[in-house]
Amino acid sequence: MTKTNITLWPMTLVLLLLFAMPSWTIAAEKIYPDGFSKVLETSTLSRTEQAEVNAKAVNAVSAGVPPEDVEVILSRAINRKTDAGTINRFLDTSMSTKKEGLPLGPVVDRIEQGLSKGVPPERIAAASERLAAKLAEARPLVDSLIRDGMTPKRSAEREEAIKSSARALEKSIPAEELKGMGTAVRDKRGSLPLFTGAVDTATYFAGSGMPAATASRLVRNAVDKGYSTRDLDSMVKHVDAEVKRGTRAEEAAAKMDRENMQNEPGMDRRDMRSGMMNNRGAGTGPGMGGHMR
Amino acid sequence: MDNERDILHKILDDDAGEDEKKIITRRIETDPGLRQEFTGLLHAVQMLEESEQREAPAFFTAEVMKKLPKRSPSVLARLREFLFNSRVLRWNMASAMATAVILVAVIVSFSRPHDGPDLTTAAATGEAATVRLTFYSPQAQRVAVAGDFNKWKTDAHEMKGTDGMWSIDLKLKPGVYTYSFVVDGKTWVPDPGAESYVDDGLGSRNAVLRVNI
Repeated sequence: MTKTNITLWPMTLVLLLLFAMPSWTIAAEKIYPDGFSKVLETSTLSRTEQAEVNAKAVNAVSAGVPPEDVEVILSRAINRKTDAGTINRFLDTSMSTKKEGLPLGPVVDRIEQGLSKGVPPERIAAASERLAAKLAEARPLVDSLIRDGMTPKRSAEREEAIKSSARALEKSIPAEELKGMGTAVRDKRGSLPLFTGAVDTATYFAGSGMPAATASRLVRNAVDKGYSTRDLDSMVKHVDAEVKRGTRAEEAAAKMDRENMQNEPGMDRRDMRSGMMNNRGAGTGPGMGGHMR
Repeated sequence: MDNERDILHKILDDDAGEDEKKIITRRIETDPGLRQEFTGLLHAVQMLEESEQREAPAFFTAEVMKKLPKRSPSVLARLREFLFNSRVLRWNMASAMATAVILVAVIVSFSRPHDGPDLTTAAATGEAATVRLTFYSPQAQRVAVAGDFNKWKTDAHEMKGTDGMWSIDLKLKPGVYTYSFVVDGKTWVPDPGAESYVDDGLGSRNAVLRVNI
């Protein structure tokens, strides 16, 4: 083999690899050679609008939005007789979320869910744009926690933390409160998934009618006491049980606070936790809403 | 005669014993033919010792082998040679950099986080568990379950109904899922039996299903 040949080998491989990298785009082109024109043909949109939406859909796929999601969005939007402008908003939001490197799943899920449930398209577009903005706001917050030493063990942990923080911000939990929760978790040498769990718990309480400030204070106190993810789950179940008994979420939180204060001086946290869990069973098992066989 | 020649070579190689040297010295004095042969060999050795020592070029063997007439070995033999023959690889900066680029590209492409529907991110790796969902609705003609695990399709997971009790077994990987029941294809009802609910961000709520193994 000559010297030239040896040099050409890796060069050829590099070229092959560069062509193979955007494999999702190639795959999409194979599956959708004419873009999404077949899906759009069934719509009441004009030819010009169809071409415009189709071009945007192809761009979205090229940006990395999964083609099956684009197809679901288009077909459901057409079934709901959504106008071209709003469909373009769905595609723009998905595409920009992907391009900015933010988690795409929640945005696409909200659009698909809204269309499936028959929510007015304008409202879906606004809700998905709001979520995308919150994801963008959440990312630097999570990254600052990572920089401060809360290193994720898996790349998915960072993404989950961003998603949870975005949901919390949507529930009007202030970014400062989230940072505070993060600092509390870090001070207890907690992990990023614990921070995610804490944020989810606060969001859940806020979604159950508890004022955002109360929800975040309650969870932050719990983290300060060294609660684990499982403890936080138990906390959710405890408040749920109280709410089901007719107690307001805020009152349930206050009751929990009082119980915690009474238990604090002499009682081990583990004892308190087992007491809390008597009504609800252990954290493992079939999970909420289902019965695992 | 052959024995004498052997001793001659031993002397030239400096391997001969004293007795052998004496024998040959006597024979050389009496045999002019042997003397001539010994003198010739001695000159040859001296010439070789005085000549310049030159190193063979670095790729001398490879170049010689390349010039040899080519045989066409079998495919198996060529494969064996390709796989098991030791070889010297000649590198240059272009090859090294190209290989580095390939390695980086491969590592990046494998470590790139997967983006997709929430199902894949919610579900951790692990075996799927069977979860039974039940719903009592005596008036319903048709009930399905829709959630983030099926892209909210209203016809993907139809429930079976007996005397108004509807049920379905779902195979789900460990993770947290959100879902609702869809009654007669139009009414969305968050599972009344769920232990928790979550805002769907669209003005309604979904049931939460946590699958742990």
